[in-house]
Parts: sequence; structure tokens; C-alpha cells
Amino acid sequence: MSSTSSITLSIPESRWHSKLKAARHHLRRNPLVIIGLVVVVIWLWIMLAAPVISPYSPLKQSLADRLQAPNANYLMGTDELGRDIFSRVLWGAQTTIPAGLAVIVIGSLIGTATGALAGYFGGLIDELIMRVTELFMAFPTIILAMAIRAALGPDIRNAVLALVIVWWPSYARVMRGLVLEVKAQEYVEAAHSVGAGGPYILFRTILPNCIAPAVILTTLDIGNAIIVFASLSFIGLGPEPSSPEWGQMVSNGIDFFDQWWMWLFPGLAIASLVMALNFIGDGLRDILDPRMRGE
Amino acid sequence: MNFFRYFLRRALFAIPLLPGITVVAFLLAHAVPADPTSAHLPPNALNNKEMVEAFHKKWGLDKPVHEQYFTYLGNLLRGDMGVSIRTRKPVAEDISRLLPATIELATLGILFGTALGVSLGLISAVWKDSLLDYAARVAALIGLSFPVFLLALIGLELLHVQWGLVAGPGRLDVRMFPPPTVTGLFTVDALLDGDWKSFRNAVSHLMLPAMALALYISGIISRITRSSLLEVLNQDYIRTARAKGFRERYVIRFHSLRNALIPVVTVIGLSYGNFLVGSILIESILAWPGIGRYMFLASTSQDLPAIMGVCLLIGFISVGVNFVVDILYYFIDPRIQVA
Repeated sequence: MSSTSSITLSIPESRWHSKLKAARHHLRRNPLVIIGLVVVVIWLWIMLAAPVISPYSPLKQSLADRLQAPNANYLMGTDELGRDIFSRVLWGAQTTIPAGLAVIVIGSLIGTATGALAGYFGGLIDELIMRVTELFMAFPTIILAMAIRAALGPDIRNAVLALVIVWWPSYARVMRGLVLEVKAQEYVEAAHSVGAGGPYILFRTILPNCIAPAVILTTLDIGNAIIVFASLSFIGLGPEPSSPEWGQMVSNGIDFFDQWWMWLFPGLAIASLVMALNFIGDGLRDILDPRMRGE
Repeated sequence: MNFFRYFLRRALFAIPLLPGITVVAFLLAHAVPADPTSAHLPPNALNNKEMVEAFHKKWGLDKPVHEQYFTYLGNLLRGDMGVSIRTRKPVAEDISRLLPATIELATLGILFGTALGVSLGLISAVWKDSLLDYAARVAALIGLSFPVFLLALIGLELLHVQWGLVAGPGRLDVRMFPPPTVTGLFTVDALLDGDWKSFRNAVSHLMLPAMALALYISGIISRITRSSLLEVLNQDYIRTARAKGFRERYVIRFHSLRNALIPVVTVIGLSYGNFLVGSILIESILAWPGIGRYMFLASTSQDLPAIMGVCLLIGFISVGVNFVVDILYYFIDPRIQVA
């Protein structure tokens, strides 16, 4: 057995080493990635520190101060109930970021597991899983999520669940492709030839070589998940109405369109976070895909 | 492969999806925790066992699930998608009344978006790593990162309220009457009627939602165009063309662009449904009376028949568009004909 494991490990390790070196080189050439990283770290910090750094409670109403334009007391103004928009935007990070992460993490766990099974076993299981994914992917993301969320009933967990149901099929397809690719490699054949069993081959030789690209692909998708989650709650299918969630705040602000601060700031919160994530994603893609570099 | 065999193969792939979509829609509608009985019968009738049984019998709720599904399928085939809880009209009727507005918006948005996206992608691939490339990529990222509802709101504030360049929400000014209905597309109908004033007004109203949709779409398309053009420009045959002394402009126009656009066509086909969905959010903000706004109103009032109807329709449209794109491939990509 020791001979097979040394084969499996030696190839990816050397490959990752050279990739890491190239990554450092490209990071230096790509300032957008750095900007993206900084912005994402700031948002993560805001998410954790919101209770400490926000000047007001996100739910505290003060009708005397309603609909104030941004000023020294209320940096981003107040809404129709006199709640501080700035505090609500900060607290909003605590809803949207974990929701987006949950969709990606759960969706990718389900997707990669089913995709790996489909790719590894092939035959009838593969056919079945692939037909199911095609079915789910025939619907546009938000439409199906809206329908599922409407059927499940109002709750933030149902919104996340609806998105997970919509999200996993694309991961399953990617993972299946990766497994099929790795399965054809010589080192897998080598493991077979020395008599390694099925589970050993799947878990020790194939999966370790698929995980890294799968993880990267899913990371690139977080921004997308956040936008779709925000869109769902914009439509009114997110968390309960009073809670500070960005999409919901924008949608609430439309009724007060002239009070532009009510919809602009929460909207920009979504945009800045997703844009930063996309900067990182683009940089990663440039680093990983040599064809893009044109060298 | 000859065309007939190719067509048949793609059809065999697409057709089974259609009943599949109806199964998903049916199961979703079935999974609702709210019992339709308690939603439709008055409270005092719910205590009356005979009333409840009669209600179940009338709507076939006493039958097993698979029989209920076939009833549902039979109704669908006859064009019956149920009655909307919110508008109290048949869903099929609502949809066919509202669909032209969405088609008008989506067509123009996709045209604008494709033109903008391909140009941005072209610029950033040709002048790769220049300042122009960065600018075009950041522009594309705005389309990808700004939620489409925010784009629509910013556009409304700037283009309509501040600068007065385009008309605001709705399909026509309040004091104007819609042109006589032929196609349901106000711009086309106004032209057919020879009514230039209505035509100009309809176009002006169409601009804002179409541009918001276009920005969103161009983000996806410019990315694909850039990466696929860069890949093509690295091919040996491009080097050969350059070595022959062709001008760069000629090389890009006649040797690269057509090959580079193959993936772009795929993405347009695959994302067509998502583009339609982009219009849901835009329509709901800009009071555009189309399918998107209908879906939005339905989902805020838990109007399940309407939601399922739109879901089904858009699922079918997506499958149809993908099928058409697959067929177009046969003509775009000569390799299929050889294979």
C-alpha cells in the first residue's frame, strides 16, 4: 500500500508547489485581488464586531428622528421608523454573509458527494444523478428558489434551504467531471493493479486530487450566492420583515424613493462585498487557468 | 453527422426534461404545508365533515398523489394552469396577457447586453493588461456585482429623476392610451398603427429597464468573450495568420471572432432563463406590467398557482432556448458536421 500512496502524493504536491510560486507572482501583478481581500476582511470584521461598533440598536425606533438625511448623528440617515441605517447596514452583515456561506458550504457538500458517487460508480447511478441535476438546472436559479421558498413558508432557514436545493446540482456536475478526469489517471490504475479496494481508491487516491479545484470553484461562487440571497429577500422571501437584511432594506426603501439613503446604502453594501469577492475570484481564476494568462 | 440525426439526438435530450419540469412544479405545489382546504373553505365549513369531503371530492384531493399528478398534467395540456389566488383569474390568461411586455423588455435588454458585453470583452482581450482592459473588466464586474435591483434604482434616480433623459416607470405615460393590440409589444403596435408619438413614448419608457437588464447581462457576456477570445488568439492558426503579415484587425475579425463567439452563444442560451429572471427584479421596481412583476406580486402574497405557472413557463422557455442554441451550433461550429 505504501507504494501507491507515495505515487498519489508526489504528483499533486509538486504541482501545488509550483502553483503557489506562480500565485505569489500573480498576486503582485494583480492589485485588484489585494483590494478585494482588504474589503472582504473589513466586511468579515464588521460582521463580527457589529454589536460593538454600531452606534445604535438596529431595531431601535425613534419616530422623532424619522427620515433624516445622512448627518453627523446618523451617518447614513434614518428610515421611516427612525431606525439608524448605518447600524442596520453593519448588522446586516450578520445575516447576509452567514446565509451566503451556509448556501455554499451545504450546497457544495451535497453536490460534491453526489457528484463523486456519480463519477466514481458510473452506469445507472451516474445516469440517475445527472438526469436529476439537469432537471433542477432547467429552471433559472431565482425562479426555482422563489417557488421552493414560497412552498416551504417564511423563515430565513427556508430561504437558505431553497437556495441549497437550487445550488447543489452545478457542484455535482463539476465534481463528477473532476472525478472522471482523475479516475483515468495512471496512478489510479496503479492503485487498482496493486489490489487496492474501492473505498480506498475513492477516498485516498481520487478525492484528494479533486478537492482543491472543487473548493476553489465553490469559493468563487460565494458572491453569487450572496446576490441571489439578497434578491430573494428583496422580493420579500428572506428573513422576517423587521430584521436588518440588505436586500430587504433596499426593497423597503423603494417606497421612500426620494429618501435615496434608504435604498442606496444597503444596496452599496451588497455591491461592495460582492464586487470584492469577484475581484478575488477573477484573480484566482487568472492564477489557476494558464490559458487566461496568454504567456 | 447529418442534420437530421443531430436534430433527433438533441431532441431526445431535451424532450424528457419537459415532463420532468411538470413533476417538479407539481411536487412543489404539493409540498405546501398549508392545506388548500383550510385556505378555500370558510372556518365553519371546516368543522362540517361532509363539506370537507365534498370539497376534497370536487377537486380530486381524495385521490392518490400520482392520480392527482395526471389530473394536473391533463389540465396543463388543455392550457389550464389553475386560478390565481391574488387576481382570481386563470393563471394562463394572466400570463398570456402579461408575456408580451416581458418579451419586449427581455429582447431589447438581451440585444443591448450582448452588444455591450461583446464589445467590452473584445476591447479587454485585444488590449490585454492595458488600462483599457482594466476599465472594461471593472465595468463588467459592476454588472456582475451590483444587484440588478440596485442598478435599476440608480438608473431611475440619475437618468429619470435627475437628468430627465428617459421616461420613468410604466410602459407609457399615464395620460397616453396603449396602441391597438396586435402583438402586445407597444413599440411594434404603435408602429403598425403609424402612431409616432406613442412609439417614441414607449421606447423612452423601455430604455431604463432595458439598460438595467443589459448592464447585468453584459457582465456575464464580456467575461466569456474576453476569455474565449484570449484562448483563440493563442492558437497556432492565429500565429500563422499573423506570420503571413495580415493586419491585427483582419486577424481578429476574420480568423478569431467567429470561433471565439461559440462559447458566447452557449452562455446566452444557458443564461436565457436567468436573464428573464433579471427582469423580475427590474419589472417589480419600474412598474413594468410583465411576467416578472406578476411573479413578484404572486410571491409576496403566497399565490402558489401563479408562482407555479410562471415557474413552469420559464422552465419550458429555458429548455426551448437551449434546444434552439444546440441546433444553431450545427451551423456555427462546422466541427459538428464533420464528427
